[in-house]
Amino acid sequence: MRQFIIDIYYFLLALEPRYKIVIILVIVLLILAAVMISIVLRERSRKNNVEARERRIRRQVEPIIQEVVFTDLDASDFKDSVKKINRIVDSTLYRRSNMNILNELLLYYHRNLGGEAFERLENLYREIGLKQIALENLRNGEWHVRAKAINDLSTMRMGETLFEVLQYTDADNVHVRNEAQYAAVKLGGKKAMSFLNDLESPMSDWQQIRLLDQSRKFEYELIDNIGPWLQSKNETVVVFALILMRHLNQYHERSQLRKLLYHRNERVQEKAIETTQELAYSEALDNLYEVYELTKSVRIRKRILRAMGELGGAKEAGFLREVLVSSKEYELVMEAAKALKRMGRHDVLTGYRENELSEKGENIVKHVLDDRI
Amino acid sequence: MSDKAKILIVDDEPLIRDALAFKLTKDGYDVDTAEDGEKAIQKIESEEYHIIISDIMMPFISGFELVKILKERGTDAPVLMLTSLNSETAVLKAFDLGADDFMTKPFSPNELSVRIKKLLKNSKK
Repeated sequence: MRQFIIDIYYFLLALEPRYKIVIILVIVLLILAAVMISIVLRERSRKNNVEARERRIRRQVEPIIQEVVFTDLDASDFKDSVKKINRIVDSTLYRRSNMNILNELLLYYHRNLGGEAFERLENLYREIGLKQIALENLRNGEWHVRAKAINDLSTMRMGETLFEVLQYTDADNVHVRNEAQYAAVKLGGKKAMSFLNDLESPMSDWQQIRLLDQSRKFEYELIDNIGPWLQSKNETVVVFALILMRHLNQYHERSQLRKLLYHRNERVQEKAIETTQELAYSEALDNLYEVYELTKSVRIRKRILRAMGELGGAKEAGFLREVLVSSKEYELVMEAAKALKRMGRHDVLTGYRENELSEKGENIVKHVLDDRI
Repeated sequence: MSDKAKILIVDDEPLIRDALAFKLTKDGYDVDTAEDGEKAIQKIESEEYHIIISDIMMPFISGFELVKILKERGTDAPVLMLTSLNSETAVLKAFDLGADDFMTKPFSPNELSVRIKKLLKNSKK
């Protein structure tokens, strides 16, 4: 063997430099390939081991969980089951990962089962110590661990953790905050929605929809909160209150709604106009005229024209005609024409004098009147 | 031959399948399982079942197709659909195709037991 290596060494020495480089490169590549293959094999074996452990734990734990969930166990049998589960997942190295497997298993059952089984699963979740782990994750984990912990606690309906969850409704991280707000409403109902009174962070549109959906069971109990939320410094809370006002057909905060038509935030202003229209609040038409003159935003002006088309009478038809013939902003001309059509005022739409409308304006009117479009 | 009522559970989710099998065996039924519509049809061809509990969203043959096939073949066993789909359209379609009962997940195992008893009682009439 020694002689063989020496021969190879002399053989390499005797080679031209370009061949030496090629051979060295080939050797390096072979070594790299061997390292890569060993890493892949090791990872695959690690993954297989994890999956095998997961399967083993599931196989051992599932019958015990089924026994707890589907059988009327007395207190001592229940305790025995908890002990058995704890013995299975107990491991110095893998306890954390085993508890995660158990957690996912219970969450899965919880998502699919209802009635008495639901409550038994919740008890099991507490007794095994998963609630405690979720709380520890919530206090000490990274943002994604916190968000998951909050989600788990709300899925498992751990009502006693509401106070803890409420601490995160205004958290810096948007995912933690969103989960905490949703969980708070799920666990605490109407009372928990008081977090909106002091909320400083913005709420996304999606988050507002989630909260609205979650509060559906007690939405009429929220009527008294609409007023204070309409006055919130947080503009997204104001928008949420306007959505709620519209959704619940609440007229009692009309004066506040009028004020919001003049809000500095365009999104709030737009939502307020929309709410005015949806609630058929025609007394606010004078305010809409004022806002139309004050604002420079085409978007807001378009929204006002649309609202006038829904709420207005002869006076508004006159105003819309004025916009139709004199506005240089074609988006507004189009909106005015559509509004007149919605009002059924074809007479106004077609009754303009020769050369009163620009060519483009005439085309817009033709387009709006064309029922095929 | 056993006098226990024989139930076939068709669901692609092993956890649900096993949990249902555990519960219904405890209730005193003879339980068999299938993980999709195709396997369910094979089992139904070789065995006689008193009730079939089926999910809707399954690979190869959906629960809707399974009910349709069973009813076309004249299978007498009542079919209970157990699914996460809780839209009115799904309920109407299931009954339209010939399903005998419909439950949505999350479901109460005790309610399921009562419904099975009722279906068995009705099918004996």
